[in-house]
Amino acid sequence: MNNPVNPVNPEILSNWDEEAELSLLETLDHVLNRGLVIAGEITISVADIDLIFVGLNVMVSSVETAREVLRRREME
Amino acid sequence: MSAPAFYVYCIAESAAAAELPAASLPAAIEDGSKLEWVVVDALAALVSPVPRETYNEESLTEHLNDATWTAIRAMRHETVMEHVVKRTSAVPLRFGTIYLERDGIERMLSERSSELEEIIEKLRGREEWGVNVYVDRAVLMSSITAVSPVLREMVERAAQASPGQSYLIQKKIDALKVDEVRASVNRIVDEIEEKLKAQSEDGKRLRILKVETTEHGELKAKFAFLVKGFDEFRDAAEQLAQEHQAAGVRLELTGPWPVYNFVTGLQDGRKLT
Repeated sequence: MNNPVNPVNPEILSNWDEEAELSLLETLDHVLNRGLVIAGEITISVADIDLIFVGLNVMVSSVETAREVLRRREME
Repeated sequence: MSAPAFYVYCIAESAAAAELPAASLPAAIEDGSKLEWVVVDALAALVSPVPRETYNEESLTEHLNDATWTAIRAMRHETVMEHVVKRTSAVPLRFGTIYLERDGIERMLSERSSELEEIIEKLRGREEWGVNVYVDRAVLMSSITAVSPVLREMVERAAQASPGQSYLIQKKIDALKVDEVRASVNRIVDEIEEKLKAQSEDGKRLRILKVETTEHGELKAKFAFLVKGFDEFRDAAEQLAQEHQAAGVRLELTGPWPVYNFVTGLQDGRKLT
């Protein structure tokens, strides 16, 4: 899992405003990193969770970057 | 279709679970499936069936590489958790805890009942609040001679010294500024941690996985606190924010969260199958 991010379907995120994105990031951080580890038959390992989170970070940033580019174009 | 596996969200008391019938709960992690309680004596686990084809070890790892897939599941997990903890004390489990058989969940509930009941009791009436500390470096740099006790003292000395000496002290102040900015950030962050710990039952410093720079500055520290009595906690946070505003410090409160960060003390990694 060197590159944990697949291209993101932007439609799923296009309705979210910036505040929602920030809270998404905060939420993902909370949900993915923590909680009682109780051994199920399948439990995501801690290392995986870090990778997922880094991947999601990239996703959220890429959405932000796309927005930024669009805004600039509009201004020109 | 083969028999489903079970995704486990959290554990609560059976009595509380009875007050939260499945039909009143939010959407499950997978479309078309419903949440249900698996009850063993005094404890109940909130679960929903998930397809084994997707949630076996290999396939799940692949799906987790898909950021959109994971983001949607994480948000659903959180929505379920928020609904439950608003209404009762519950132990949040880590995202992605899967049991292949219902039996396994029942066994876990009965084998770990005393430990789980203890956690539920500890969490009753508590909320988790996140505190993010941002520092605007430019603001801090421009006010550093007032913020840093060391530099403040030197400024006073320079004011009383002869022009020659004053010039030399000023040179020294300029040379120390960058180090003092760093030291001041650490000192202020430590003070915030200490004071908010005093207003809560427990506090933890979290890792910063992403260096975040916002219009309010750079994220310098991230904390989670176990809070009973939010008003006092918020007042303390507001007071700290005011005290350090001139230093370019901004506090951001997030929450209330399910108590994700204060249930990790009892993990043992035991396999229960």
